[in-house]
Amino acid sequence: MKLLFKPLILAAGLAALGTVAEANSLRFAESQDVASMDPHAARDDFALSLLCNVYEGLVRWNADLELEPALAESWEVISPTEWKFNLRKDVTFHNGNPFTADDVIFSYHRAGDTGSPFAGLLEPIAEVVKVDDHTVIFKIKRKYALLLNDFAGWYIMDKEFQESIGAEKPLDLMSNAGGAMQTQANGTGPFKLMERQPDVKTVLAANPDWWDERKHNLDEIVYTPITNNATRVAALLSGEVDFIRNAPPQDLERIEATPGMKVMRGPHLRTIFYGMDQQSDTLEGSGVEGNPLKSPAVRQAIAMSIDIEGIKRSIMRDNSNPVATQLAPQMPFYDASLDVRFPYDPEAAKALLAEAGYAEGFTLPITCPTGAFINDEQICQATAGMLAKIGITAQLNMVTPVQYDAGLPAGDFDFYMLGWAGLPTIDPYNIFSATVHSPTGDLGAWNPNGYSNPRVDELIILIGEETDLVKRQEMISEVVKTQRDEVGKIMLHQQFLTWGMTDKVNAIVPGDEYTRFWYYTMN
Amino acid sequence: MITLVLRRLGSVLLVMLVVSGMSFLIFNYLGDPVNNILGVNASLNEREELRRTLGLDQPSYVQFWHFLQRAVVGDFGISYRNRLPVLELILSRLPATVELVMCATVLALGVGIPMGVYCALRPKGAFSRLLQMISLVGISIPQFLIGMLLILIFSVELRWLSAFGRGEVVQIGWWSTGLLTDSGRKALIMPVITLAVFQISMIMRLVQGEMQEVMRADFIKFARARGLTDRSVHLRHALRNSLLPVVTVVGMQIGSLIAFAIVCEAVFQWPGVGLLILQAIEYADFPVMAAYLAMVGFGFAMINLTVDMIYLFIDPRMRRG
Amino acid sequence: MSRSPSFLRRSLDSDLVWRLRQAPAAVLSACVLVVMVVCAVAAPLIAPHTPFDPGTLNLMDSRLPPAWVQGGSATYLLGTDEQGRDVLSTIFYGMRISLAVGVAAVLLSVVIGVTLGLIAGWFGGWVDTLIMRLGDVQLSFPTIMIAFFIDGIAKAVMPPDLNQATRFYVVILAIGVADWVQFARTVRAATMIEKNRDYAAAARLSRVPGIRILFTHVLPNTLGPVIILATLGLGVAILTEAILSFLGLGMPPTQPSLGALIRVGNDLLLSGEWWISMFPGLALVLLVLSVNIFGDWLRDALNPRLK
Repeated sequence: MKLLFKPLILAAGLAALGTVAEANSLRFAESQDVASMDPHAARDDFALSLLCNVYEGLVRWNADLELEPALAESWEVISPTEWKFNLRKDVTFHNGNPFTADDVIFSYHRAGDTGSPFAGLLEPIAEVVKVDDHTVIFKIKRKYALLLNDFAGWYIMDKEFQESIGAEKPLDLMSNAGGAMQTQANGTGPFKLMERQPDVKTVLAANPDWWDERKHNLDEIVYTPITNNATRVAALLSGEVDFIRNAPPQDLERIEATPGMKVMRGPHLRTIFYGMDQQSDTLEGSGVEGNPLKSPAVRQAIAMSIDIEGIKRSIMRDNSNPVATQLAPQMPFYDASLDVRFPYDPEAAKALLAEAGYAEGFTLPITCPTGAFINDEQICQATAGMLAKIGITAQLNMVTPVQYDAGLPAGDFDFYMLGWAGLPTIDPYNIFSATVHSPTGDLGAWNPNGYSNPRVDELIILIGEETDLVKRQEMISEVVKTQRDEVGKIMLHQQFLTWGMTDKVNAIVPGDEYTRFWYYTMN
Repeated sequence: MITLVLRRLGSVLLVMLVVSGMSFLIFNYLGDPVNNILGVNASLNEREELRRTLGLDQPSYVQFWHFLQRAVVGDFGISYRNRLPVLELILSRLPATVELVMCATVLALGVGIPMGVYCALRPKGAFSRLLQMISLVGISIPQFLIGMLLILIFSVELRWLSAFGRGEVVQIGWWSTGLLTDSGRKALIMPVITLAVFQISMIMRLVQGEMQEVMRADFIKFARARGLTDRSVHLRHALRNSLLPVVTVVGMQIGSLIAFAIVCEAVFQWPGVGLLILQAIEYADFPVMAAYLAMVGFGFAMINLTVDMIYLFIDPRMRRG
Repeated sequence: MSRSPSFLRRSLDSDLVWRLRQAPAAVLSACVLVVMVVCAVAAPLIAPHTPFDPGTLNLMDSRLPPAWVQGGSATYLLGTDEQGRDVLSTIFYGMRISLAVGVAAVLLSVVIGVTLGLIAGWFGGWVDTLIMRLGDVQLSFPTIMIAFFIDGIAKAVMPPDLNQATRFYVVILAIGVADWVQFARTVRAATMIEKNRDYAAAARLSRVPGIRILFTHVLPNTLGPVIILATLGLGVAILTEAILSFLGLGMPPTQPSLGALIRVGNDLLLSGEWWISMFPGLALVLLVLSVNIFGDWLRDALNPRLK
C-alpha cells in the first residue's frame, strides 16, 4: 500500500517516539514466547535459541558455528569412552554462586535422567565422575563422535539454586513445582533475567560479572512475543521494536524501503523437502493399484515436475536456495559435488511416469503444515499446480502444526512436506538419524514408512561413532548420494534467514537461527 | 424462589459438565501436545513415557474423570505451554480481557445511545440517514479488517499508537490495569475501537427502534399534553423507558464480546484470555482449553442467571414459577 | 391456506414493490445483491479464469498488479495472487462459497429454529420448557465458541482424509446450529398467539390434525418475522464464516471463501501487494452491506408496528 500520510510521518514519529532510551535497549519481537526459563524443559530450538544468552554449556558455538570452549576451559579424550573436562574457574552464576563440578553433575542428572526431554541427548553418557571441584570425567557407553556437539545444547544450572526453589526436575507437569522456572533463571551467561511476564514481556540485562570478554554493548534486551505476522512487522515499521527474527519474505522490500531499517540475511541450516510413504503396498485414494510412490521412477518424475526456480522467485521472493540433498551448504560435511538437482522438465517427467506404468497419472494426497515452515501453504499449492501439468492430481490436506507434529511421526501421511536443520547438534548425523534411517527404536522417528536402505542404515550408525573426519566424510557422502540417486526425498530448497531490524542494530545471522546477543552491538 | 435459583444453578453445573466433557472428547483429535512439550528431537520412547505420565494414553472418559476429580477441589492442572497452574494463568489474563470489553462497552453505550436518540427523534433528517448508513457499514465490516486497517494507519503510517500489547500496566493486588498509565491508555484505543464498532452500530439501532416505539405510546402523548418540554419528554420519559431492554441486551452481549475479543486480541497481541485460548489451541494445551471452556460456560450461565434474577425482582409474577 | 389472511402474501401483493420504489438505498442494495449473486452462481461460466484448477496456473504470472497499475496485465483485471491466480476470478468463486455457506447456514438455523419453535409453541408444557431451556443454554455460548466446538467434534468423528472434503458442510453446520434460537423464540411466540385464535380453535374442533393446522395455518403466519430475521442473519452468517476463516477454522485455502482469501491476503497487507487482500475485503463488505441494507428495509417494510 502506498504511504498515505507521508508528510506527517516524520513529525509524528519524532513526537511519538521521543522517548529514546538512554541505555542501549534492544527491543526484540518474535512470533511466540519461550515456554519456560528452564533450559532442560524442552528440546526445543526456539527456546534454546533465546536461553543461550542466559545459560551456557561446557562448550558453545561461536559466530561462525564452530565449537569453542565455554564453561569447560579444555578437555582431553583419555580413552574412546572417557572424556576429561577441565572446568573454567572464577565463573559465577547470576546469583553469585560459584560454578563447580557439582553443578555439572547436578545438571547431568537433571537433564539426563529418565523423564527429562534431554534424556535422549545425554543417553550415550554412562556416568559423570567428579575428580575435583573443577575437573570431571564423562564415561560414555560406546564410541561416540558427537559428544561436544551435544554438549553445546546442554546447559549447566546451579545446583544450590535449583534445590532452593524446588525445581530439581525439569518437566513437572503434574504438580505446581515446575512453575518456579517460569519466571526465574540463574545461569552463567552474558545476560541475566530481570523481569518476566509470560507471553507479554521478558527483560534481560547484561551480566557485569560475565567470565568472557564483553564484545557487545547492549544494556538490556526486551523481548515481546507478537503472534500475528502483520502486527509484528507493523511493530518494527512503527519503531516500537528494533529487531524481529524471521521477517516474512513478502515484507522484506517494505522494511528495506523504510528509512532507518534493514534486513540481514543468512542461509538457514534447514532444508525443506517432501517425504513419502515408500513402504505400503497401496496408496489410499490414488485411484490406481499399488503404491506408485514405491517406484523410484515416479519419485523422480515428481522431482522433475517441480519448478523450484519458480517457487524461489514467486513464493520465496528469492529468499531460498534450491538444493538437491538434505545437507545445506553451511552444514559440516556438505558435498557440493552431490548437490545437483534433477532438471525441471515436465515433458521428461511425463515420459518417466508413462514408463513406470502411470501414463494416466494418479491422485496424490499431499499433507501440508500451515505455518511450520516459511510459506509452506503456498509452496504446497504451487506444487499441486505443477503436478497437475504431468497428470498427477494433488489432493491438498492442510493441517495445523500441532496436528502435523502428531500425525507425521505416527505415519498418518502419505506424502508430506518436512524441513530439518539438524539442531542443536549441527551435524548430518542428527538429520540422518531422524529423517533418513528406517524407523527402528529411537531412530527414524520422522521417516515413518519412508525411505529405507539397509546399507544406509548401517552407515548412519557408523557415522555416529566415527571420529576420523576423512572416513566420516566418505560415509556421509555415500548416504547423501544413495538417497539422492534413489530419490528417497523430493528436495525443495534451503530457507533463508531474513531478520528485520533498525539500522542501529548490528547482528550476526547464524544458520541455526540462535540469537547470540553477545555478538550484537547497537549504535 | 430459592428452588428456582437452585434449579438454575443445577443447570449451570450440568452445562459446565457437558461442555467440559465434550471438550475431552475432541481433545485427542486436535493434536498431540507431547511433541510441543518435548521438542522434535525427542525419541519415540520419550514421547510414550510422557504420554503415560500425563495420562494421555487413557481413554477420553478416564481423562475426563481425572479432570473432574481435580477440578472439584479447584485444581485445573498445569498448562503444557506455560508450565503454570491453569487457574492462576487464566486469572492473570482475565483483567486484560475484562478491561478491553468494559471499555468497549462504555464506548459503545456512550456513542451508540446519543446516536440512536438522535436518529429516533429525526428519522428523516439527512444526518440521521448518514448515521444509519454508517451503522450499517459498522455491522458489515469484519473486525479483523478494522483492526488491521487501524494498525496500518495509526501505527505504521502515522506512528501514533502502539500496534501491540497493553503498554505499561499497574498491578493492584491480583488485578492489573492499563488505565492508570499513559501508554496503557494509548494502547487501549485501537483494540477498543475495533471491538466497539459492531456494538456501537447495534446499540444505536436498538435505541432508535425502542425509542421510536415508546414515542408512540400513550404516556408520551399525555406527557406532551401536560405541556412538558420536548427535551423533558424525550429524555425523561422516552429515553428512560427505552433503555431497559437496551441494558438487558448489552448485558447479554458482554458475553459475546468476550468471544469476539479473541479476534481482537489476536490482531493486537492483547494478552488476555482470548489470546491465551488461541495459543492453547495451537499448542494443544488441553488443561487450559478444558478450564477455559468450563469457565466460559460458567460465566455465561451466571450472566443469564443474573439477568433472570433481575427480571424476578422487577416482575413479581414470575416468582411463583 | 386461503382462510387465514397470510401476512406475507398480503404484503407482497399489495405494497411491497411500491415500498421498494420509495427507498433508493434498498433498490441499490438489491441491485448490487443481484449482480453479486449472479457472479457467484455463474462463477464457472463468467469468471475470466479457472483459479482453482491447478493445471491452468502459471507461477510466471504471480503477483501481477491490477490492469490499470503499471506492470498490470489486461488478462488479469484485478491482478493476481502469489500462485498466479486471477484475483477477480478468486473473488467470484470466493463469493460463491461465502454465499453458499451463509445461505445454507441460515436455512439450517431456520429449519431447526422454526421446527422447534412450532413444537414448543404448539405443545407447551414440558416440551416447551425443555426446548426453551436448551435455547437458553445455547445462547449462553457465543456463535464463535459453538463453531469452535463443532469444528472440533467434526475433526474428532471423521477420518482425517475426509476432513478437507467435508469442511464446507462442517462450517455450515457450525454456523447454522449456533443461530437457531432467535428463530425458535419468534416462531414460538407467534405460534402461541395463533394457537388461541378462533380459526385454530375451530380447526381443532373440526378434528383437523394438529400437524396440518400447524403447517397450513400457523406456519404461514409466522413467516414474515422469520424472513426478516433470516435476511439479517445472512449478513451475520457470512461475517461469522469470514471470522472463522480468519482464525484458520473456516474454509481451506484450496476452496477459499472471501474470508479465507482475506486471511491469506492479510499477510501481504504491508508488502505493497494491496490488491490481493483489498479486493476480496471490499467484496465481502459490499456483500454484507447490501444484505444488511436490504434486510433492514425488509424489516421496516414488513413490520406492521412501524407502518
